[in-house]
Amino acid sequence: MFKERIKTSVIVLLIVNLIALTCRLWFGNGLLRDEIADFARGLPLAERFFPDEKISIPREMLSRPRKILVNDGALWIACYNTDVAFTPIENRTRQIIEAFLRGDAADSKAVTFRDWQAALENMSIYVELPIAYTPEMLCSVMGVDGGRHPTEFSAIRDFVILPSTEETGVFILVRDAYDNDNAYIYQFPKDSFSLPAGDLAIYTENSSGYYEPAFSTGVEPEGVSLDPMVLFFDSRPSTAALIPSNPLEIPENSRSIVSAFFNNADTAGRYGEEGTRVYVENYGDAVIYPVGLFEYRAVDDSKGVKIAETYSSYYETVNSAISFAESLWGMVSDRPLSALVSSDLTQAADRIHITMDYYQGGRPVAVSLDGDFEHLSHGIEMDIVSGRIVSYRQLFRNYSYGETSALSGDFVGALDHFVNEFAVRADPVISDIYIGYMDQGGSESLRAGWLAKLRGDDDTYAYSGEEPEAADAAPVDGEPESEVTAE
Amino acid sequence: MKYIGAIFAAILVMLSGAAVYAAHPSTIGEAESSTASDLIVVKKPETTNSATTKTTYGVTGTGKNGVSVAYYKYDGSSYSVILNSEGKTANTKIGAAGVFYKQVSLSEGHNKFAVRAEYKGLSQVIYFDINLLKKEVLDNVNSFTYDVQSIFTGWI
Repeated sequence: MFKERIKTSVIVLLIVNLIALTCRLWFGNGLLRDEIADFARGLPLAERFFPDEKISIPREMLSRPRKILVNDGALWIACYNTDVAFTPIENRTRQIIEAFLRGDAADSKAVTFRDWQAALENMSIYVELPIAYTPEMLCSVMGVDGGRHPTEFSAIRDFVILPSTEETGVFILVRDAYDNDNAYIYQFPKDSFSLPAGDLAIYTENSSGYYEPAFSTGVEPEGVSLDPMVLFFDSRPSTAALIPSNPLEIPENSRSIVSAFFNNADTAGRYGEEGTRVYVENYGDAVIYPVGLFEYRAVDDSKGVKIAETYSSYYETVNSAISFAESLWGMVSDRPLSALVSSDLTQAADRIHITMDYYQGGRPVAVSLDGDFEHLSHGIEMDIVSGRIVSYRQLFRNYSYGETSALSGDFVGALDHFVNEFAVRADPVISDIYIGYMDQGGSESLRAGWLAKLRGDDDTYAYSGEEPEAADAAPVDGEPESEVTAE
Repeated sequence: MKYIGAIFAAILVMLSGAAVYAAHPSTIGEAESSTASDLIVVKKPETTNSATTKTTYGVTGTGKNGVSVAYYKYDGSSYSVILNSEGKTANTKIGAAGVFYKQVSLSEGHNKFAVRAEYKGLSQVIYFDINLLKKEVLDNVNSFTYDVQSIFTGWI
C-alpha cells in the first residue's frame, strides 16, 4: 500500500513536471538558459515547430525599403528602418507598391525626370529599396503572385507616392533604376486607396532630423556629380562602436565551414604560409586566412557546390544562396546572420554574382579588405553558375556593441573628403553618402563614419570624420540651431 | 636681444591680425558693407525675397576653398550670429567640394538672414528674407496632386 502511494506520488510529480515543461516550451522562453536560447526568444509557436520558417534577416530585408523620405509640405523627414515611424509608413506604402506590381493602376503616362523631382518637392513619400530588382524579381520578393511584371522598366529601385485628394486616388511615380529618363506615373482608382495629405504630417511630427535631396539644394560640388537623391543633412547622430571578433579563430568553426564545401575537411587541409590554412580536393580548393577570410573556388563551373537545380528560377536561386550563407553562418554563431543583399538583382538566372554586407544596429558594415588575396569589397561575395556555387568568399565577423558617441565630422566635411579622393577619376558620380561602418579586417573597435558609393564601382569608400574644431561643429543629435543667436 | 623682442612682437601682431580676420563678428548691421563680391554665391534661396512652406530650410551655396562662412539671423535690431549647441559660432569652412550648407529653422512670416563670408581679410555679406507661409496658405500651395490630375485630364 505504501509502495503504491509512492509510485502514485512519483507519477503525479512526473505528470506535473511534464505539464510545466510543456507550458514553458510552448508559451515561455523555451527550455534552454536565456543566454543560450537568445536567438529563439520571442519566436512564435509555429516557428518553433517549423524551424525552416524562422525569420531570415537577409530575406526579410530584401523587400523592406532602405529609406523612406516623407515630405509633409512643411518638412522633409527621412526614415530608416530603425526609426519608430518606419513600420507604419512602410505598411502604408507597401500596399500601394504591391498594387502597382499587380497592375491595379487605372491609368499611366510617361513623365520626365523633372516631373519626378517636382513630385518630390511637393507632399509625397519617396520609397527607396535597398537594391535594384528586375520587375519579375521585385514581384517575387514582395510576394506579389501573378503580377503583371511591368515591362516598362529594366530594373526598379524607387518610387514616389502622391497622396489622394477628395477628387483623385493615389498616384505613384516609378522610374527605371538605370535610366532617369524612363519614368511613368500611375493613377489608382479613387476607391482603391486613401492616403490623405494630412496623414503625412502624422509620420513626420515625431521625427527629428531634416534631410534634403541633392537636387533640391541647388549646389553642384566641384569635380564630382551627385546623384539627385543623395540626402544632405545637418546633424551628427550618436552611434555605438562595433567590436569585431573572428569566429574562425576557433578550429572547430573552421572545420565546420570547410565541411560544407569538402567531403573530408580533415584530410584536405594543411597549413600554408603566414598562418593560412589551405584545403585542396579534386573539385575545388579553399583557404582560410588568419584575418577571418574564407575563400572557396571550384575547379570549373560544373564542379561547384550545388545549392539549386539548373532549372531553378532566378528568385529560387537567390533564395538558395541566402539559405546557404545562413546555414554556413549557423555553424559558427548561435545568432541569425544579420546581413543584407547588396548587389542588384538584375542579372541572368544562370550566372549570378551576389554580395551581402553585414548589418548592425540598423547600419550597414562595409568591407574593404586587402592582403595576399584578391581585394574583398563585401562581407560575402559568391558566384553561382547553373545552381552551383563556384566561388564563395566571406569575411567571418561577429560584432558586439561598444561605447556610443557622436559621429565625427558633418555631411559637407564628408563631401569635401570624397571630392578630394575622387578628383583623379574621370567623371565620378557619387551615388550615395550615408552613415555606416567600415571593416578593414582589424581587431580594433569600429566607429561609425561616412560611407560613399560611386556609380559603377563595387567598392565602398569611408571617411571617419576628423574631430571638428568647436567653432565648426554641427549640432549633435538635433535640430538645426537657427534659434540660438548671439547676445 | 632687442631684435628677438622685435621679431616676437612682429609675430604677435601678425597672429592677432590673422585672428581678427578669422573671427566673424557676433552681430552685423542691416547694411554691412562688403569688401569682396565673389567669395560665395548663395544658391538657395535663389532670390533675396523668397517664400517657402518648409519650417526647416537648407541654406546652400558655393564658394572658394578656404572661405569661412557664418550665418546670421535678424533679431529686430541687428543680425546676430547663429550659434551651435555649444554656444559657439556655427561657421563653416568651405572645402574641396566648394559647397556650404546650413539648416535654419523658420517661424511663420518673414525670417531675415545674412550669410557672411571671410577670406584673407576680404569679406562679403549677403542678405535674404524667407517668408514661411501660413498653414492655410500652405494647404493651397501644396496642390501638386491637382496638377497631376490636370495632366491626367489632358490625356483623356
